[in-house]
Amino acid sequence: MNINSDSRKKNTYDAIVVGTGISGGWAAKELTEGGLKTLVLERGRDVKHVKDYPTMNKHSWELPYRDQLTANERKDYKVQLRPGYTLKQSTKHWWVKDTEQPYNEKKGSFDWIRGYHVGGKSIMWSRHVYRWSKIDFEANAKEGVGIDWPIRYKDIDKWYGYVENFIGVSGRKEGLSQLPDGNFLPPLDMNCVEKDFKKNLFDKLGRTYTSGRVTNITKNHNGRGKCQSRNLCIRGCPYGAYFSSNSSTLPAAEATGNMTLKTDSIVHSIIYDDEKNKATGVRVLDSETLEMTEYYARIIFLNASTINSTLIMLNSKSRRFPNGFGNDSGELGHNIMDHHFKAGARAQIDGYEDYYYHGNRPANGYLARFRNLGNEKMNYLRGFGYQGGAIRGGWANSGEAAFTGENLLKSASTPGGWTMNLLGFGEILPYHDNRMYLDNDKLDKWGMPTVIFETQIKENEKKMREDMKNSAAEMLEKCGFKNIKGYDNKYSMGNGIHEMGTARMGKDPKTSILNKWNQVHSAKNVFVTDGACMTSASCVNPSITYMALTARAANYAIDELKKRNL
Amino acid sequence: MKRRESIKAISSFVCGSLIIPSSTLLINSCTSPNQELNWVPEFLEIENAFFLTELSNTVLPNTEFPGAVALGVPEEIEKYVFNVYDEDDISKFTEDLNSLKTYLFENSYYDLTLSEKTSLLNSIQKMKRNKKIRKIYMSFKKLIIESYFLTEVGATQVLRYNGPSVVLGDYRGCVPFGEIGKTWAI
Repeated sequence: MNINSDSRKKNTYDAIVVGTGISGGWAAKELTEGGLKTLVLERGRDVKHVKDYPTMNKHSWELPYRDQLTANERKDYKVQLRPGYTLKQSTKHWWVKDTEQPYNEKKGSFDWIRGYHVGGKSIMWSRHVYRWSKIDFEANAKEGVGIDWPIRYKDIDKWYGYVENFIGVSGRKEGLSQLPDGNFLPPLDMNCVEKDFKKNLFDKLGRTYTSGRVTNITKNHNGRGKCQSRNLCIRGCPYGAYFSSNSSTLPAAEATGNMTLKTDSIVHSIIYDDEKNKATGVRVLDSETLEMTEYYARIIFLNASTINSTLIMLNSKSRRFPNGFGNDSGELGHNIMDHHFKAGARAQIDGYEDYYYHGNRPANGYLARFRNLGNEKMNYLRGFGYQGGAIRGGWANSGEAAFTGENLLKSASTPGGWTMNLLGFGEILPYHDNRMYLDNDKLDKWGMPTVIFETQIKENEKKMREDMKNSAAEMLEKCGFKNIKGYDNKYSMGNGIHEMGTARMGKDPKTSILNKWNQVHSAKNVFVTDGACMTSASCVNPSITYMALTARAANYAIDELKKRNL
Repeated sequence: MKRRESIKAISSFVCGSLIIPSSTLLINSCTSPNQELNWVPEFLEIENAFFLTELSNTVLPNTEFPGAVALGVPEEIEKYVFNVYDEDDISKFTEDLNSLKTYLFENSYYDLTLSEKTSLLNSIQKMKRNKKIRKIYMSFKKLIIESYFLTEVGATQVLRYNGPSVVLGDYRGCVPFGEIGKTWAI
């Protein structure tokens, strides 16, 4: 491609950030605040905070089809519908049409859940944020699983705090080493049944049930309004009461005057200069015209998501990298992880009829990991936690009594008994043969190669699921619940929407893609700080770790640029 | 035999066996509940639309609150089922509607008073021997109830509304029931 120097200059920035989701927003904020002229690329459309949340104030009677997709609409969203709770009339504008970007699955199914717009999944996420612990960063080395993390808890500790102070995290300090406390706003309240469960669980078993640590802010924070208990977060929040790129990091980046945000820009590949031995920019497809444009920068942050960042790297072939960008080790695309869930128990409890709750809490509580701590050795490695809480029965089952008319209305307007659910989320080990690779013969509507996934959970996860189910039932029983039903519903990889680990960090370039600063070992001006970078999965929700790693890497990049090391 | 009983006998035979009668009187008695349909069915046969409407009216008639028919429940059910269900489920819905209709016609449904109709439906729900009809009735009852409580009246007047327009403030987990008074709508 011949580009004259003027147009090359026009398309040159200090930094390029690919993606505007949870980690991309953080990269944009940190780099622009550090004074770098930054081009932020988003493959989807723009979404302005509040203005572009079209359903945020819609009542049930204003949403057609009981908020469900029609049979015709479902044809476009076969994979995106798999989680079951995310895709509705009120949220359908947030999800990718699978028909536009199909992919293939071998071995087991892989649920690749995507949202292409400014903010990405930071708009629709479940907002739980838990710090990783020391044992999470040490487990691989201790047990000889996968490869060792190149960092430890102490390397990320202050960055967790830095992120928490900006995003606002409500939570309760519990003093647990496996679930470190952070800088918290007041916790979300528990209801009466949960308060007693917390006490009984600790008294009888020494285990901890705590308020969900979430980015729903319980006090006004950094110019955003506090949570009003609508629990309609997934539609976008008019108060900005939870963290999203749109409500938080992107406005901060915008305010510096250093950000250029370009939407409808699909990054095709990274440009590698064989003479300079470094990446010089990215090739971008206009999603409407399919026209290709090159943009240049001194550093590049890949934050396109666990699958898409690796897709871009696998699609970036050069003389130096015939097997994909930075892929000297052959590990690119391998070691996909997620959190396996949908195993646990639910039960009822008598009494508490005189109590109810006020408002719609945007998050349930969290029961912290208790397995394989200290000297305990189960018949599987690692552990799991539970998200869960108690609710009173609503009107949905009011038809179960043989009433009609007035009696039925009366029965519906009287809440039912209390039930509690504990839903386990467990760690998945990194397996080399859980992988993604590209199908260059089958292209999507933009001419990009499609992805093939080969993923499945194995014995360790299956044994853990047994325990997730049985332990939940046991805890509920010991705490006075009845009609206990343990369950292990079908889980497939990706269904936790915590996919991670396709371009892992490590000490050794022979077995990993990224170093301890999230730099590509063999091209140090390219940083990958989304879920792709993860070396193991822990059992806690991963997003805050992506944010902390991104802030840490971005500030390192700024320092290195100042020192002229990049 | 009194006249009314004779009509019931004939109509239950005619409707139960789905023989199309030639008499207008029978059509009125058997296939329509002698009232105007307040909506225009798009997918259902008119006879089934009448039946769904009558069924909705029995489950949730006008009380101190407007009933299911006044709130457009039958129309919403048709729209929901025929747009959202897969083809197989739509066939099953229609089949079930016909089965329930046949069963109720055998019990002279349209000729009963509201309180008799109510007793009939409640007896279906309580009966142990005809599990199939019970299951079908319960599925329709659920469709009617769900539709009703998603309407503005159902959600805001019958229940305690907590939808988007209500500023609820902080979540308070443990409050006396009397402070809330009714089931939350959402």
